[in-house]
Amino acid sequence: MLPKGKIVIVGVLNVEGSTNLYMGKAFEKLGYEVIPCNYRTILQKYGPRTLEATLFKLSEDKPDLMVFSKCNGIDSLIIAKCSMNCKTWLWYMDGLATLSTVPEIIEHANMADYASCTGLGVANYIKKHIGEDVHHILEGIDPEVYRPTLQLPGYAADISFIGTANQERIEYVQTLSEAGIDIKAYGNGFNEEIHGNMFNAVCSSSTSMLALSAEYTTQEYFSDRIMRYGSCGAFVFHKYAPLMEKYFSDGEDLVYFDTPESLVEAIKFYFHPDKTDLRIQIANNLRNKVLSNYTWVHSVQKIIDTAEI
Amino acid sequence: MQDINTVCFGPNFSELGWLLSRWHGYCRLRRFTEFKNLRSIAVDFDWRYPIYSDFIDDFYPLPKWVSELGWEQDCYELVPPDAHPGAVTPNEVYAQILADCQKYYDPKTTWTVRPPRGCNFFIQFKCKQMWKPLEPSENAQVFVNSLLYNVYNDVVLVSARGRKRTPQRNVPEFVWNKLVDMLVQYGFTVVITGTKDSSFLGNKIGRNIINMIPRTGVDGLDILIALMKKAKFSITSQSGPTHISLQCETPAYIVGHEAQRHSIDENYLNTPAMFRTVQNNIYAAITSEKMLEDVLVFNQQLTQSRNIVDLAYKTCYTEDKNIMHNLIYEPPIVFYQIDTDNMRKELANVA
Repeated sequence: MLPKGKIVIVGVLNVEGSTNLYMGKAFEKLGYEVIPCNYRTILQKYGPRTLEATLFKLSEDKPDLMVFSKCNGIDSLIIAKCSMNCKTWLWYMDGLATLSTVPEIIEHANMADYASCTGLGVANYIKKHIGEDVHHILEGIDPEVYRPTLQLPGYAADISFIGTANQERIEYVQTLSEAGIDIKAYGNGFNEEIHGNMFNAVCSSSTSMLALSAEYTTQEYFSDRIMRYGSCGAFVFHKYAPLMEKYFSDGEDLVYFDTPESLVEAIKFYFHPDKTDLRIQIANNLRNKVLSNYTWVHSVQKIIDTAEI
Repeated sequence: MQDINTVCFGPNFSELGWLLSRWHGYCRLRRFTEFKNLRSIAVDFDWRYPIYSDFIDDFYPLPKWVSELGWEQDCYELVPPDAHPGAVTPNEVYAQILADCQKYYDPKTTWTVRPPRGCNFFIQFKCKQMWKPLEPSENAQVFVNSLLYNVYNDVVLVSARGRKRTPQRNVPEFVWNKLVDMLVQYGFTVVITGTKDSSFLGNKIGRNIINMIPRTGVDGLDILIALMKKAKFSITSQSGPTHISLQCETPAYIVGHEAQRHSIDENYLNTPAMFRTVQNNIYAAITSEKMLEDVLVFNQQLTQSRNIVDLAYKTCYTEDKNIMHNLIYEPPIVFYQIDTDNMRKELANVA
């Protein structure tokens, strides 16, 4: 069958686990041909001039859309030049704290035909600077990658955390350990880093999963880890972020907490033998919600509808 | 007071290089920022219309009598032929031009943004500008496509400055003449561009030479931009076509005395450029052999970089696509047909 059209994704599509891969897969599922442009590799191998010329050459093929995924470090002029040949989209998936370290993204959003952020607060911030609409589209998950799997005894725990260690996360791990709760943490700064099937095995083997965002001040911005946990069928404790209840209800889809102490109390409450069915129900609700609303196909469909391609 | 509904950039009558590098990007930026909701117009010499096409709603030519003065246009402003270097347009003429241009707009509802007078670097060094590659009109593209229809060689544009004003900055015509002949021998198709009054090689003809000078008219700049888009690189001694080449993103080989200015400071789009500095500002000292030597090296560098771009581009469609698919899709399950008879025999033997 002929593809519906062509999408160029400028991002990282040659590294396992990159979210750009799942975005590309979703475009392919919806019938589009995806051309990956691994801009960091080209930049490293050949330099910025070759990257710019390559991007422009790709735009001359008149794809239906060129998606620039974050793309920090590239000259915004090249996005403007590509916009002369085809529709362009700036996709930004981090919070405000990261944005302050890559201010060129605002210029990129200005040069692109469309821009979107995964956090509403970030979208509003960029919109204020460029004076044009910036869309709010959540990062999705790929249910074929993040799925319930066989339980492995080595990964069994009361609660597990997956992510890079920082001061807050270490404090949580220590507090829970001191409270006698069996907690395991994986990621850079903790134990081993885990990806792919091992991620799923941890989610399936642990009684619950702990979700801590990188930042809590950005309006309607939270880590896509919650989607991944949910897609794996995990029962999730998530530190509350502003307006998160718009997406996930407390006690129905997951359980919110504010402090390590409130988390300990919540764990004790939900780990009571009488609450086993409730935990399973909540985990199922989250999985159902994620698969029904927050897959990459949903996110990509919003891009397609907005860009009218 | 009535509401402002129009912004007028100009009138402009400074030399093209100044206009492009020290005024044009500033107008574009203001047009797209603080004046984005206003109708925008520009007033300039009639042949300069293409450089405004991307940010101006309506273009108006300067009054006819301004061109008919026959004054020098290759200065900060329009000046009499014998004016001293650095001169500006006499006040009474300047005032008359402004008055005549007011027929294009209602002064009560229009902001006018005029270029600073004389040699003034304020905008270049103190103001933000917005750059965009120059684009030809569709008509010019069609014309150039038909002109180069049967051309399969690499096209090189040669603009041989031959101005009466500051003639010491002209590379001698015989040098250009020999260079063009040698370029043809090396397999290039040479397109000679310029105007009758200010360029050498107006009569040059020959195999694989296309001379545009005799047909230069009001669309000359438009055609030049369209040609630039088709050329592999241009050869100029620093003048208006140098700026055009850099702003069309056409690689430029430049002979001149201000390397920093032309290849870096005013090369806003980072167009590949090779600059040959003439010794002691003596343009007459450059030889066609030296220029050819440079040009061949430049050509080789461009070919190499083009090959790298082609490789990076091709990789996106082939290797990178395969890597992406390997990472996102699980390998298909392979079903083998089981030879049941053979299996039965094997089981019988085991038993």
